[in-house]
This record gives sequence, structure tokens and C-alpha cells, in this order.
Amino acid sequence: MNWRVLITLLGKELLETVRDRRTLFMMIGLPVLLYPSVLLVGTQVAVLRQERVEKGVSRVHLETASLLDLPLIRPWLEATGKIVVVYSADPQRDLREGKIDLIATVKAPVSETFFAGNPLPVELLYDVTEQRSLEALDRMDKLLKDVAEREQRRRLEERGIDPAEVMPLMISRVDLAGNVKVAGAILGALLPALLIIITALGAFYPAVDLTAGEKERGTLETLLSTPVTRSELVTGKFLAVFCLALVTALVNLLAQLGTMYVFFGQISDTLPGAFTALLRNPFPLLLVIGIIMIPMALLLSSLMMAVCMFARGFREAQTYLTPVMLLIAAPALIAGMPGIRLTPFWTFVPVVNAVLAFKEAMLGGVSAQALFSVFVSTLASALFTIACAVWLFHREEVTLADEPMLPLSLRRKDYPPRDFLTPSHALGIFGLIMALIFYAGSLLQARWPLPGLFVTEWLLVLMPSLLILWLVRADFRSVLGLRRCPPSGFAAGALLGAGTFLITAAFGPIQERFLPIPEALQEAFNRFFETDNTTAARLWLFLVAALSPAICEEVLFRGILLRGFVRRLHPGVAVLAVSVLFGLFHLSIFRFMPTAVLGIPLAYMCLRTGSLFPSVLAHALVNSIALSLSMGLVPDMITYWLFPAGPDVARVSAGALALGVGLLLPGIAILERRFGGAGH
Amino acid sequence: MLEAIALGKVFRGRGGGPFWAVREVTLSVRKGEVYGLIGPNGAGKTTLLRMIALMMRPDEGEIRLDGQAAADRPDALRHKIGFASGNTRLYGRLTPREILLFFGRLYGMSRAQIERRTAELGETFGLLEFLDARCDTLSTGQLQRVSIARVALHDPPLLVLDEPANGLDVLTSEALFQFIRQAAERGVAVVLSMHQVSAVESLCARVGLIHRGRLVAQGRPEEICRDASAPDLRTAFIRLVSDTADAAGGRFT
Repeated sequence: MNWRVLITLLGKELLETVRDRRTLFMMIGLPVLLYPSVLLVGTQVAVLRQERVEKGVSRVHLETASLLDLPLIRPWLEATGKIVVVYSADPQRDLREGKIDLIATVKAPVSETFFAGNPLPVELLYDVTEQRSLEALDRMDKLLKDVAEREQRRRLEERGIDPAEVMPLMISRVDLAGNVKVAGAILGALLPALLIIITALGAFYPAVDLTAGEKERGTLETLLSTPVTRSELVTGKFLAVFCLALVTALVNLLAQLGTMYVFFGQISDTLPGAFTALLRNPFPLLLVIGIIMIPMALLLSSLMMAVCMFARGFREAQTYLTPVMLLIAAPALIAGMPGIRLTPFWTFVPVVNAVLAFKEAMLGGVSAQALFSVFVSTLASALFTIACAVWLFHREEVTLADEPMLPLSLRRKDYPPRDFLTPSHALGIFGLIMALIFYAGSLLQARWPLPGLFVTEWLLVLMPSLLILWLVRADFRSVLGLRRCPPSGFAAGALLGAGTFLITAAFGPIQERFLPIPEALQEAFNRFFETDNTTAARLWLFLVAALSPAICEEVLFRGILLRGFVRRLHPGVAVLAVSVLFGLFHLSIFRFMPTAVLGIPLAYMCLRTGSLFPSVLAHALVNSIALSLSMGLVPDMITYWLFPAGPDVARVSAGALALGVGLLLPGIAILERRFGGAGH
Repeated sequence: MLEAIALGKVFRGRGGGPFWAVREVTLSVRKGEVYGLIGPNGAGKTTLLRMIALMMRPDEGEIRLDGQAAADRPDALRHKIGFASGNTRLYGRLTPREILLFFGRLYGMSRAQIERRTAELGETFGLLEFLDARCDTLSTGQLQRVSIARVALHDPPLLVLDEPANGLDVLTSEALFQFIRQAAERGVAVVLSMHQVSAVESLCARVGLIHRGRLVAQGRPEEICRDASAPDLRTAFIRLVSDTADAAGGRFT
């Protein structure tokens, strides 16, 4: 590694970036403009609204005017003017429409209750969605409680009882959280995640520009022709992305801090000194940010660069990076939520650990030991991704690839016939189908469970996939792997499917510990598959929930995605990536693990046999077994031998686990022995 | 200077099977010699030149520069090579002066050396008027001239030029040919590929005809013409390429 060369490379990359207005704007222009506008305008509007509610007059409709006869009420209304009594012909409608804020109803004559020494039932009708209505409720409630307390005291004294004697409890509340901790909790939820997301965004454009951008502009080959080694090249580029990501993070941090200073200066009397206390001495916090952000920026830059290297152009790189951004943002935001603490386990999960350490620091301190662990583990994962990036750069098919990109066109004749898809094509199709399912499929299934699922599988998963393949003139046989498969392939598929089903079920208790399925969700899931006990109804259920997913999902996942990924990625990586997407496809964090795990043998058998059909069989088989068990179609003896606690509780017996392994191993053996040498 | 022995390069084909872009290509270029590669589109010229420029590792065979095996230390040996092709473009956001400075440094030259060479090459290729303009404002011809200056900057003993005359007008191509002749006179070995067969005939001492990844003819232009019993290289080219196409089953794609 030659330092002179590295500095030359770094200098050139930075000079180029500085001359690119788009990147420069994303890095510096956007944060400098964005925070003041969002924070100032947003919070000022909120404060104004709050103030208007607090200073505003509550309009209350009284069903009977007798409420005004109670003691205290008239003088209070006159003195404060915060509640005006209004008359409404249709009070409930007016309340819903926001014309009045509260309705107070007296359920019995005042003279017979309150003034006769009995309780007076009062009903307050309000609208929880209206800030003004809540404020009116609060005011009326306090006023009536004062009235009640005074009357209580009067009645007790009348009977010669000391009010203190009938008070069994005296409760007073003292908040010990303190200003700094309150501010930390609020900021801690958002700021760390925001900072990481912004650093990732800061790396985004340079990563795309310096790798895929150079490839697209054709300047990468010029660089490759020089005596610079591939490792120097990656390192130089990586240093540039890293610097730019750090600068972006710093500019953002300063913009955030600056905005807050201005902001709190303006309304310091409206909000407590909570935020300002933290801002007055932000240096310990900045130190923690510094210690964490440096390895974090290393990790994010190298990760993004490694991903971008697969792309041949700007647009393609952006397509690849979008899921990566989600992968970074989602855990960052979740870790930011209150209640999640930095346990030793989380210390080793990248992104999450940084957010948590940062949060702890804001909440009043993070231990040096924890900080060190986070630093080391982030650095380790950064070094790993850097190594991946260097390795990728040594591969000619990555640096010198010149397959043409697909034109973005809806005319079929614009596409040359093709017998393969690239990962980006496959991901594009996946994205489109996920959007369809999310917006249309989930609505359909909520309204008509089984028909909705049926329509989702055939019309939202299979049909668009095939339509796109037809549009881009892809050869269905080779893109999907529709090849004949000998019976031994199907047998192996069935063995693997059934075996994996039992083994994944064994993981149930583990999932139960870390991520218990909420009961309501489980019930809804069970209700989804409730059916009449007629043969026709059962057949319909099997068609919808076993056969349809097996056909439609296999075409998308083990067909389009797997065959597309395997063209660019190592087969093992392709299998894992497709399985993760398969898990995500089920749109439920609770079903992610079992479905993703099931995806692995399905993808594996497809690659080994070179055919899609065994995985269709295996998928149908697994779904059928699950359905039969939950519908009680399997004899109880077998069910309870497999699942001693019943089929709904995923807790398998040791025998069942052994059976699972016993099915899985011969399946693998057949695939390796019969198909291992096929070169897939 | 350059020896390429039984070079071969295999890619994954469209159907997934192996596809040999270059196979069993053996050629050598002496100091001061200009070697021209001709062949139809997709014949494997670019792949062959990329291997010769040590940017791509051959899957078969070996390359020797001045007797040194390239596979041992390709990065260091790229010092001796200047490579330009249609795919080696220039940074649009930098100026020619900055580009020459950048590449000069990568070749380990000192700032003073780079400035001296920039002035010399600027004179030779007429770059002086746009040395400080951003490259994305320059015309194709101007860019091509900057590219050639970049290749010549560190005065390498071997020039590898893939279609160097693409996009050049008559005058600029003539200046380029002049530059190549002068380089050869100074002892520089040159390997180039070109579609203009007539230019190759006048410029190159020896010519290799590549078709479907294989060298189907090699030698002095007049030898190739004689062997193919053709009046000129152009006719010989057409004849040889269609001959092998027939031999391969008459499919010419």
C-alpha cells in the first residue's frame, strides 16, 4: 500500500465530489436548510396550537342549567372565563363536528341529590381525537372535583367528623427523572437513529458515484490500466466515501445543534430547561458520538461501496442501495424506542449497538466497557465489509462487467430476447410485487380472508411476475428453471420439506422466548383458516393455502429471484438472500424466522436439481402438513406424539425432532449423490 | 518487448456454459514495432488487448514483458504500459491539466516532471487552449487527444491502443498516426486495434487477424495478402473471415 498513491486517489475523489452539485447539495445544502425548516416550523406550529388550546375558551353545552346552581361553579366561570356555556340543538352532532367541546349532563334533579345529601351522577361527553375537547374535559373535571371535595368536607364537618379521619391514603407524586433525563429520553429516541441514517445517506451518493458512477462514465477502466493495485484503488475510494460520510454526519450534527440553540432561545419559557440543560454541556455526548460514529461511518461506507460494486450504473446502484438503507434504518429506529437497553447481546449487533450506546449516553452515561465493546464490534464488522469490498474489486466480472442494462420501456419490442435475469431485474420484480401485496393484497385479505389470499397469490404474485417476464422477452424455461426432474429429485424435495418443517417447529420455543407471538395475532391467524367441516370447504382451503402459495411463491422466489441472484452471487449467498426475502415477504416479524428458514432447503433443492418442480412439491407438502395438523385431520395419536402440548403450541417432542433430522439427512444425501456433480 | 503465449480467456456464456472469448493466441511485438489487430465486432480484440495491458488475467497461457512473466507482478508491470480504449474515458468534472497531474502521480512521476510533460504533450496534441476547461465541456475529438496525451504521459515502452482513431476527424487521426510512427521510431512497441484496415496497412509492420477469439492469420500485411491471394488487406480480411465462418458451419453471427 503506497501512501502517495492513496492520497492522490483520495484527493481526486474529493475534488470530483466537490465539483458535483448534486452530491454537495445532499451533503451540506439539505441539512443546513432542512433542520431549521422542519424543526422550527414544525414545532412552532405545534406550540402555537398548544397555546391556542390552553388559552382558548372551552365551549360547554349543559343539558340542564341546574349544574350552574352548584356552589363554586358560577363564580369560577365568571372569574376565569375559560368555560362558556353554549346552547346547542343537537349537542352530540355539534360535538363531533367540533362546534362545541363538551357536553355535561346531570342525571338526576340537583335538589333531590346534591342538596339532599346524596350523590349526583354527572356525565361528561367528549371527543378524544380533539385537543380542545380534551382540554375542556380536563377543566370541567377539575372544577367538578373541587366542588365535590368542598361538599364532602362540608358534609363531614356537619356530622362532626374530621376529614383527615376518612382519608385512608394520602398520595403525592414526585418525578425524579430530572430535566436531563427527560430531555435525553425524548431526544434519545430519535437523534441516534437519525444520526446513523444521515451518515448512511451521506455515504449513499459518494458510494454510488465513486463505484457504479465511475463504471457508468467509463472512467474505471482508465484507472484499472494504471499501476495502482486493486487494493489501493478500493482503499482510496473507500477513504473518500468515509470522509464524505463523516463530513455529512458532522454537518448534520452541527445543523441539528444549531437549530436547537436557536429554537430553545426563542421559546425557552414555553418548554422546560430540559433540552437546554443537555445542550449547555454537549461535550460528553459529542465525545461518545465521536467514538461511535467513526467505526460506524467506516462500516456504512464499506457496506454501501461493496453493494454498489455489483451495479453497472447509477440507477442500478440506487436500486441495490435502497433495501440496504432500509436494513440500516429499521433496526436504528427500533433500537431508538424506549425500553430497549444495551445488553451484552445487543453490543454485538451492528447499528443497533451504536444506537443503544448513544441512547444510554444521552440518558446519563454509558460505561467505558460497553462503549469499548461497541467500538470494537463495529470496527470488526467494518473491517469485514472492507475485506469483502477489496475482494470484490479483485474480481474482473465485477469491475469489468459490461452487460447492457435493461431499457425502461413498456414496449415489448424494445427488449432483446434473453434467457437470464440479473439480480437487479429480479429485485425490481420483487419490489413491484411487494408493493402490490402491501397495498392491495393485505386489504383484500382483511376483507375476504380466503378468497383474498387466493387472489393475492394468483393475480398479485404469479400474474405480474409472468407478465414482466413476457414483456422483457425472457425465456420462461431458463429464467424459472422449468426443467424436467427425475423422481429422485421430487423424493429428496419431499424429504427435505417434511424434515425442515419438523425442525423449524423445534425452534418454536426459542422464538417464544425472544419474540412471543401476541395472542390476538395468533387467534386472528387461526381464525383466518377456520372452515366448515365439509369436504368441499376443506379442499378449497387446501387449494388456497397449500397449493396456490406453492406454485405462485416458488415461481417468484426459487424461480425469478434465485436464478437471477445466482448469476452474480456465490450460490450460498444467493440461497440466503432469497430466503431472507422470502421471510420478509410474509410481512410479519413473527413469521420471519420460520419462513426464512424454510426458504433455505427450498432454494437448495432448486439449485441442486436445476429444476423448480421439487420445491413446488416440497412447499405444497409443508403447507399441507401444517394445515392438516391445525384442522385436526391428522389422528390425535400422531399429532400429540409430535406436539405434546397440542398443534397450536409449537413445541415438538424429541422423537419428532429426531424424525425431522431423519428425513432431512437422506434428502440431502440424495441431492448430493444424484445431483451433486451437475455443476449447479 | 511483448510476448503473449497461447492466451485464452473464458467467460460464462448466455446459456450458462463456457464461452471462449480468446483462445490460443500467440503473438510477439518487438521494440519499435507497430502491431495491428483487425477483426470483426465481437471477435475478442478488446479482451485480448485488456489481457495484454495486464488489466485482465488470462485463463490460459502467459504474457511476458521484457522477459518478465506478467502473472507474478501485474500491478508493477503496468508501469511499462500505456493503455487507451473506447472504455477508458476521462473524468468529466476535472480539467485535462488535473487529469494529467492525477495520472502522472499514479505513475509515480514528480510534479515537475508532470508539468514538463504536460507542456510538451499539450504542444504536440494541441491541448493548450483547453487545458483548464472541464472535460465535460470538450468535444469527442478533444477528449480523444487528451486520452492519447494521458497514455503517453509517462513515456511507456509499450503502447496498447484499442480503436484509438474512433471519433477523430481526418486531421486529428493523421496527428495520431504521426505520433504512433514517432513513438515507434523512438523504440516504443505499439499494439493497436483498428477498424480502418487501410490505416492499419500503412501504419503497422505486422498484422494479426482475429476471428471468434482465434488468430486466423498473422504476419506482414503483404504476406497475409499473398496467402489469401487478395490484392489488398481489406479483401484478404473479408475473405479470411468468411472462410472460417464457412468452416465453422456457415453461421456468421
